Amino acid sequence: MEVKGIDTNEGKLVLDDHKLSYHYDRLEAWENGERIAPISVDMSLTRACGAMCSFCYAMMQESQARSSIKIDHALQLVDDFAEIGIKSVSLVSDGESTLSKAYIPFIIRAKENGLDVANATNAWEWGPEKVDQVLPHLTWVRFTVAAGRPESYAKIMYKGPEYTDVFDKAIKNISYAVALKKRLNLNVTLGIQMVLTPDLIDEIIPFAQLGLDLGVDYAVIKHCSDDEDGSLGIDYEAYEPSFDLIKKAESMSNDKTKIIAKWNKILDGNKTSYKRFYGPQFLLQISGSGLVAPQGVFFNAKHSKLHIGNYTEERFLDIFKSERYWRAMNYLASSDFDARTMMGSLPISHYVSVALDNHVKGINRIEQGKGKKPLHHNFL
Amino acid sequence: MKKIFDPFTDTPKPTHEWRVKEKKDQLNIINMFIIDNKYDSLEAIDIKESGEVLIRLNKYLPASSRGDYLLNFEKELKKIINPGLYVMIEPMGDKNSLRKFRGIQINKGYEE
Repeated sequence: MEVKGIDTNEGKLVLDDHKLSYHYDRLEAWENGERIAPISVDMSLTRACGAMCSFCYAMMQESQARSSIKIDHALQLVDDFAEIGIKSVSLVSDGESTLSKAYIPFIIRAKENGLDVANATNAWEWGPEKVDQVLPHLTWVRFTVAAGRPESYAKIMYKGPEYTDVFDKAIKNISYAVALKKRLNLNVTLGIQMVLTPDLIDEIIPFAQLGLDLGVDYAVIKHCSDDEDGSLGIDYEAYEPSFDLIKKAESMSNDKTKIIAKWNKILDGNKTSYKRFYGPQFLLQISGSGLVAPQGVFFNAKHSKLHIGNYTEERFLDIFKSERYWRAMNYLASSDFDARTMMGSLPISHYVSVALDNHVKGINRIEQGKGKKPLHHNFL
Repeated sequence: MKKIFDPFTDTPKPTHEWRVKEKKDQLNIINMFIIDNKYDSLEAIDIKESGEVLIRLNKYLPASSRGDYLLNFEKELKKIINPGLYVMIEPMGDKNSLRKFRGIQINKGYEE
């Protein structure tokens, strides 16, 4: 089955599906029982963040201890990524990486090592001096823009509707990046993202309009993840009234800017189809605390049994090669673990996990990708 | 060697014999097991019907050893006490001072 995506001027953009078809050798190695390296790592260089988004999963990702990530730690980490064959790294996870001193050196070293690098940010501390240094090295940047209207944005992402200066700062910096991309003809995809909670239905159209006004490549509307105990209180049944407006927003797409909804995740909600959780073996997450755990949904102290190590205390290479790394991964793939009840909803490797589960069940075998690869194919 | 996948098997649930016990008796059994097996960093503080055993860590365990330590404990718990039991640790709230203003409390899955 062909991977689902949106055709853009720069290639096929896949935001609501997986890209395992383009890493068939590693899929085969996994099926043959080999200890494979992840294709992609999602991580943060800090747990800190200047925003206070109402939908932020990082509120539920506090581990036992935070380690301060020094530049040397970050550079060693990315050297280890290259050595074991990881192909891409995204700075998203549980903190605002642009605040870290390691941010610029990390991106430059990752690119030198042959990895594709990407970043999600609120862009508040992402002024021209940083953008100039990192944008030429990045494959994609996704800006968290909770709403298209300044007051709503400030209410959702900061202290209240009167604090619209954070919106102004973000828009100024995003606009600068859009202009720089155009001026230097950079091969980077720029997008904005709204995390839709059922109460934000009125923000859908203004958000789409902002995407068009900014001239970014896409504006994506996605679900909100929640933990297994529903700490954020997301009612997944309450998304349905927003469906018509989301479709209307998608119809606003133009030649330059695509408005995209992550329908698969929105419709899946907290109804996880898989019992076993294979995705982390292909798409690993690392916390801004330095913690290595299979996935962000396990960062909280609550899931300590799945904590593998901390790369500020030992080399990632040694963590990856350790028996404890594979013990945690194999636990998630065993009948001791039920992904439907023992972890938060819609983890980062959801698409990959659904695909792998359907693959091993024989419901829908993953086939080798043919033809031109989609954009960002090294980011699963 | 081809990997063996197990996508269909249901995760074991606590047996009837376990479920009919009172919670205080279940806790007592597990805490006795902890003492007998010298898991002196652990204390069972709650048990859910699903088989979740909520554990308090009484001392800091480094990231490099806490996973193995707790998985070993869970494995023995399943083998000796009941196959439907699984371990969770007392959750930790967000330390980020700004985000804390949101007032989100991590649901602990038990009554304090």
